[in-house]
Amino acid sequence: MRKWSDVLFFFLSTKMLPLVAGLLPIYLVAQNSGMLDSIWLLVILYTSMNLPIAVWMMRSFLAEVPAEIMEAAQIDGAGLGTTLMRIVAPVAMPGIAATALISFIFSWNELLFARVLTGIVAGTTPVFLTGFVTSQGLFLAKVCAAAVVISLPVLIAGFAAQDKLVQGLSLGAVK
Amino acid sequence: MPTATEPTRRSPRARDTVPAPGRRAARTRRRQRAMDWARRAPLLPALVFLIIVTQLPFVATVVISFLHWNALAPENRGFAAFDNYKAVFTDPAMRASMGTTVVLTVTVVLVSLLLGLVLALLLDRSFRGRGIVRTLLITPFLVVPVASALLWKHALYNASYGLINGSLTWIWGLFGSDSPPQPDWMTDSPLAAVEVSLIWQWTPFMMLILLAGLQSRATDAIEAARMDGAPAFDIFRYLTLPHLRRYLELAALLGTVYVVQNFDAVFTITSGGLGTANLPPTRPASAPRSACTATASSSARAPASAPGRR
Repeated sequence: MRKWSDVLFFFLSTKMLPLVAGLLPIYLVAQNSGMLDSIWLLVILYTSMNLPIAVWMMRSFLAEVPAEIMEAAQIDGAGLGTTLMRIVAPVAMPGIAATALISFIFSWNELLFARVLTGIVAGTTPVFLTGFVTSQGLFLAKVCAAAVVISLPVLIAGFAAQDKLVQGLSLGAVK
Repeated sequence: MPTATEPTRRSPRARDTVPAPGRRAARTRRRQRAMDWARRAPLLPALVFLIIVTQLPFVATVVISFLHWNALAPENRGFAAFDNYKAVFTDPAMRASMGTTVVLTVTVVLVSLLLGLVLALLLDRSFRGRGIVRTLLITPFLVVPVASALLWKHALYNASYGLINGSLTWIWGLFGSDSPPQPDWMTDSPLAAVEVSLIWQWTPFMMLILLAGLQSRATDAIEAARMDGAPAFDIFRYLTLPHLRRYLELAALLGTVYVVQNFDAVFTITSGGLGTANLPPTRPASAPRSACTATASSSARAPASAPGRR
């Protein structure tokens, strides 16, 4: 058990090693496998970028699920799958939502990898915005409009779930 | 980590409470073991995925860093030992950018942590319109960093039409002066300009974590202390602060992790014109096919410099 707590910590520690340190090999692999400028490359990378935080957040939310109700479900003969789907998932739903929100924010906002690894086809909104500035930089109002439109989805999602955001960001520190 | 030992605490208790004579005990033990594995197995795919995507490229980076590899002569590859590292460490721009990164990170994390603490303490009181205030305070964290960096650069810092210099003109105008100071913020103090925008962006993050900490603290001890007439500062110093320590550490840790890797603000506001000129902006990202030469020719520098700076 002790060892698996260390594994959990390893998850978080991968976050300390900037993914940028592996940017060149990732670029070369992407180029050779024809995945440059593909949205799926970013999907894979962003998943791995947000995975550590997501694991830790989910862990702290799942730790709040009382062990008693799981034991009760077991005694009543529920299998693991049933327990997870019918008992744990509903209780942990706000936590799942908060985790999804955080991952959404960081993926939506990411610029560096999107800029280096994508171009015309799979450019994400931050990439579009930087390009938009080079072409329309003097039209300040247009740039502001673009910035607002791009930020809007994150703002709405964040406002809707701000209570959960407070809880979710404190990761394992909240019991 | 505080919760790290929790599963260890829980499982023995679960085992103890089961009445366990004979065969039934064996069955429960088997079941317990199955449960343990059920708990571990779901982590494995994520772990493998994470190692492949984030750790292996870094290993590859380390390997490449010991090679001679020039994109203009790709067939001419060979072992270079520490030559590349020598080149990196004798490059003054590299040393300067490392220093900048450290200063930037420390300043941003400390200041936003302090501001976040103050804001969290204020938000922890109940007052009318608290929900709106909190919503507004969270906003900087939600705005797309590139967008906010752009607004800082063009709408606030700009020397001729920026909001800051506009305000200065207005204030000086109030006192009848025609020559207000109009500093060019981005060229006079580029690092401070980036820092301020980053502090603005990360303060809500710190505030949210500390707010969660404040809301989880037990109120009875504080009430008792207040009853006994303890001064507000002492309550903060001896009750609130020790409770918040874990949250402060967590906020500082996460903040550091994200700010060290910051790219958007530096890239947008100064385009690396601080000596923070890091590798990524030098790549023609808009033309991926031709970018290969630029990427590979800088490969000698990239591997060693990337982990150090961002």
